[in-house]
Amino acid sequence: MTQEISSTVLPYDYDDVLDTVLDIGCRLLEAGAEVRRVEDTVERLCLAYGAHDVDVFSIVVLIGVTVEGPNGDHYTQIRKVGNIGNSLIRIEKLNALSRRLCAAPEDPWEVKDEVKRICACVTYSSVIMYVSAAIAAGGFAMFFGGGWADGLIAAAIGVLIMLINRHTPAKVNGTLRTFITAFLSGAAALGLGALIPGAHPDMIMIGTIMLMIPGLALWTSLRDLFGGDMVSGLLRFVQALFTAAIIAAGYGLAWLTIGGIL
Amino acid sequence: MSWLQVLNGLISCTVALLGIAVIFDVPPKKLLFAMIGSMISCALMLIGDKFGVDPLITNMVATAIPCVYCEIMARVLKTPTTVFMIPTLLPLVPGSRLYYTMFYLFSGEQALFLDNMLVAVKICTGIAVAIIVVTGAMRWIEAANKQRLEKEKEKEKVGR
Repeated sequence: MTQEISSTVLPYDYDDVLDTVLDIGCRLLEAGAEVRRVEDTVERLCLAYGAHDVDVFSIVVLIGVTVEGPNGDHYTQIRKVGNIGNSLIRIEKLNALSRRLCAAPEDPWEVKDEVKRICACVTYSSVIMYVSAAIAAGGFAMFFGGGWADGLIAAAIGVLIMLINRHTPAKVNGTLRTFITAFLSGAAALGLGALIPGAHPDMIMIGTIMLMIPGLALWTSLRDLFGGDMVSGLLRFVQALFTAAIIAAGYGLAWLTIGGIL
Repeated sequence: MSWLQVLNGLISCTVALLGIAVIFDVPPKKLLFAMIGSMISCALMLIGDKFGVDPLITNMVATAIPCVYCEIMARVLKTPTTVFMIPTLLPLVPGSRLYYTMFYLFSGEQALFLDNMLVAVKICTGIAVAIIVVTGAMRWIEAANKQRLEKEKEKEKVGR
């Protein structure tokens, strides 16, 4: 893709520029941004730093770019993206950073540090996260027809889910973690639902399932598919469906084992 | 469904979505606007269910209107649309239908499994169609605006 821009000669090594720009692209993907946004951001940044020709490509887990630099040399870098998570504030901050850089390019090394700071930033404290998991699970359990008992049990299981998510070592396979979380939630819902009078295990499980549904991935996959990124969209969509199937398997095992016993 | 049940639903859903919004790291300053979007989608969905409207239509409307709100807020507050969309669209995900689909699959009751699955698919289709239409319309409007601005710039250049 070629774009005509006024030639800007900046005092930065374009290798460093590309490294930083891909950092931003990578972190955006890891925060859950859609592919179109990331490709657009990387392209604008490369052009702002003086590139004449930018070809950027991403399929969610990979991002690569080749540019013709201000001096006519070609630079290519490819990055493998880490675990795709959810952090909307990170998407917002990186987006704001990109806008700022497109208006006035800055030293890529300083920008790299700023990206690290943005990604290290913790918006909500642990306590707030646990409380949020509790009210999310509890609220949904009651929304789908449960009473106060269901809400409270679902809230407790919500905290358990958050505990597992935050304290599982990174080395553990994501699929396995999802399956175990689903099984334990289902088991706890069935167990506590049978023990506590007035509780409905169904409602409790629905409440906790809403916490585990890959909502962001599904929404982003639709945006990718419609934005013309067939491969990325399909990849994300299938990942989301697969996660849903693993959750179903986990809860299913809980029914068959604990549900069968009770 | 009585209006009291609708109100109950709205309150419990909004509280739940506040939790979800925090888990997804919605920026604190944008939290209020995201919650307004989710209240709109929740209210529309509950009202649709109360009046017995087909789930496909209910969810299409309950997605389309908040989607427009999110796209407008995104431009006004200069924030990516996704920030508002997640709390707004999550209540529409048919959690109970998906749960019962799974349940009847495992318990072997095929008729109920198919019935719940079809309703879940209907709901998801309605949501997807609405998202695609609204997103497409916004992109088309943006592209048309961009073209208009470029034409004006060219006219200015020629004028000089």
